[in-house]
Amino acid sequence: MSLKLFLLGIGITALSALVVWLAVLFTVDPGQATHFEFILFYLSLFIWLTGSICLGGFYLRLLKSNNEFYYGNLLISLRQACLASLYVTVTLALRGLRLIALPEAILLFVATLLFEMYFLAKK
Amino acid sequence: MTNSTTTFLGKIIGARLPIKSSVWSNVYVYEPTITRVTEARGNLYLVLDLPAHYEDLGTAIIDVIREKYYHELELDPLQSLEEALSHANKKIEEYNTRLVTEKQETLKTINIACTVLCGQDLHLAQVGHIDTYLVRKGRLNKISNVSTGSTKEIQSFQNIASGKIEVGDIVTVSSPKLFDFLPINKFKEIITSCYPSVAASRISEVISKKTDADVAPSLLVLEINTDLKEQAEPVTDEPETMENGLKSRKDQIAEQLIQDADTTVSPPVVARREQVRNQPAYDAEPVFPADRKDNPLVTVLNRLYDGVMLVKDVITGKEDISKLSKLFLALGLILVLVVGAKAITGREKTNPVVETNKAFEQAWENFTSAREYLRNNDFVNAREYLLAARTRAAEAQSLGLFPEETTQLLNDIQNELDKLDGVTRLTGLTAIADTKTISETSSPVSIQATNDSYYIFDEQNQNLYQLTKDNQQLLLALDTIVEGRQVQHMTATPQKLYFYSAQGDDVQIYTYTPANQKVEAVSLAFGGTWEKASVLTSWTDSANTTRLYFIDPIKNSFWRYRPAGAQFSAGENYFETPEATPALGSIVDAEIDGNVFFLTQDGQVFKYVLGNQETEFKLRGLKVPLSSPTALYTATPDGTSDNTGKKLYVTDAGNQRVLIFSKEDGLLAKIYAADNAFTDLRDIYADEVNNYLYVLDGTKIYRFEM
Repeated sequence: MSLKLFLLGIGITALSALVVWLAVLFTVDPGQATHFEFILFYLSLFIWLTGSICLGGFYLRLLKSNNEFYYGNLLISLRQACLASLYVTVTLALRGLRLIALPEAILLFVATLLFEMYFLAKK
Repeated sequence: MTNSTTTFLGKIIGARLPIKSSVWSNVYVYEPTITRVTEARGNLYLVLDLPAHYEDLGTAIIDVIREKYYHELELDPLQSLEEALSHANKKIEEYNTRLVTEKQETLKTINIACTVLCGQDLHLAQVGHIDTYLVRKGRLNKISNVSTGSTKEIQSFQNIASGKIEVGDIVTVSSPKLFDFLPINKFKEIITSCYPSVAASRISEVISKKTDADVAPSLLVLEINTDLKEQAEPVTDEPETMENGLKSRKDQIAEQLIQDADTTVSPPVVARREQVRNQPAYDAEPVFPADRKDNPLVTVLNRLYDGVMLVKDVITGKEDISKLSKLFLALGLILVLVVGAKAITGREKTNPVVETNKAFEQAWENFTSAREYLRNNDFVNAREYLLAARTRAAEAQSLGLFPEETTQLLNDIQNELDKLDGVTRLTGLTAIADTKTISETSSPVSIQATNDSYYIFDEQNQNLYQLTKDNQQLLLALDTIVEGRQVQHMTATPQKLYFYSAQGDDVQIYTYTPANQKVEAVSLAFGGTWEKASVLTSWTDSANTTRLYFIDPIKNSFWRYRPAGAQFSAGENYFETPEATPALGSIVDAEIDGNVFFLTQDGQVFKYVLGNQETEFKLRGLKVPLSSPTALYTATPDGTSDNTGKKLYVTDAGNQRVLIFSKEDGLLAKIYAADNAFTDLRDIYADEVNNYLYVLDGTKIYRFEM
């Protein structure tokens, strides 16, 4: 699979997930939503955030490296996007359930940073 | 004495012994001759016990370890050793793969010990079972049982044990089978009393004497001693030789052993290193093997110290940041666990003051918005905002803080809602009677009126209560309505009450005459005509003629019984054809004033005139539809009064209100709601002559002026 095809796939997936997320956002009443609708909401949020951040991160790196199309950048972007989206989604979900407050959210953020540092340091 | 040490060694190579062995046992020693290499890497010793036909694997392992360990001298020796062992592991894996693919067999047990002596550091790593002993100050300690070796299932080098050696220490590495040839005490005696080469020779002799042996073990004996070349001054005046130096040192050790006796002897030091395969190891303070096993705290502290030192090294630039990756991962996981535990152990504790303020503010905002919409005559949005405001205000009130403010806001919201919905709110409404005052378990379902009294029917307890019209006194009229029978429905005429009772196929109507307080059976022709009544009602016309009506949901019929003398004639279906008959199963209540009104479960009222539905008639003007309606009432029009018989009364239990509609076109006339009442609406009766409404709400009877 070529890099461009891969990027296109990520873009389409992110866009589809965004459509699903908006549909859930505007059609489902959270007060009466089922478990499935909640899962759909957070899953679609995670997917479209991951896709968007991944593409954003990748093209930023591209810009920074003078348009050098480097495959390794995509993997790093994808990993960072996954971590960031996971953080956002998990924090929102836990906050939605009133299980965490700001201090815990900050701790989770630090944990996410540490995981990223683990990957960066691991080489 | 300087720190510089030298080693004397003795070895037995099992493969060279005159024993026909199934094991290829060998000892490999590499002592570099170049000083720089010696200083940087020290000596390498390997003891191998492999199946006889694995000789090539043994050679390959020796080559790769030696080559990789002495490859990059600027690296830390331990790091190089780990690198070398990793390559050795790969060789073993490759060999195993080759065995599987070419010979379809798996790798048999291999036993290899790799020992490195670099300066005063001793590093041990092993695969399988090889015995390593340290003799220090006359004591023999096994040091190969500190998890340096891999298990049988893992045929690779896993860990490295490291420790500091001292002058006078003797290290032996041997095949475990060696101790089949001589006991350990004898072994100790030999190696402590002779030079290593002599000791090896003596032990070799012992082994060779056992002609029936099937395994030839190997042995490596290392004795650590001071490097005499670097010793500052000779001990004696006589010319210094190696033998003299050794003897002198041995004498010193012997003397020290006598002096120290048992108590001051410290055990050998061995520190465990991290896994070879994945991560490099770091220097650590040595710990005692016994303590390591029994005291996990020491291990933890040791690791903690390792971690702190590592961070320090990374900060000062001595170590690469990659060595901290595990630390990052561990800290990240710890944080996740902390948050997870907090999330599991308890939901976020809310601050009641903050929550009350928030709820109150939102309620107030919604209320303000609603009033804006009301000014613009947008009643739909106004209502939505008022309902939202009421919900939030109720939340604020439930928290119990600022009760006056929240109650006031709730009242304001309710007033606006009432105005919007046209609700007349009855404040301070009190019950005129409560059946609980007579029977604690009472549960009345219906209220009907005769000329003198109101009668309240309790189906569950088969009680009939009487509420006198003149002085509003509640009495128990009948304790049991019909002896031995269950009565299900009641209806009233000005003079009598009628009860319906069905027990299986046996259906009976009873009448109760308050004047003589008698309950009598009434003759009705039920046989075979219909099965069961869900609603019983009656109509007494202006000529005082009473008709009884029964809804039969099974046959979907509405049976009418006209009077015939003192009794009733045969029943007839009010509806002439089945097509004209509505679905009577969903009818909650029925009222007749000449025309027939049905109240359905979903809150509709149908009007029938002479058996035909008046399709134009329907309830109108309702902003909030009926919810779980329970009863319908209407009076028969009286020619002498403009007020009587013009209205329909409905109890809207779901919305806790009573509604009055015009009987002509179904238009909403009035809505009554009450504070702290109408929570369990069951039945209704209107005294249109005196303009009072009687409401049966649970066990209470309310009366209010219309």
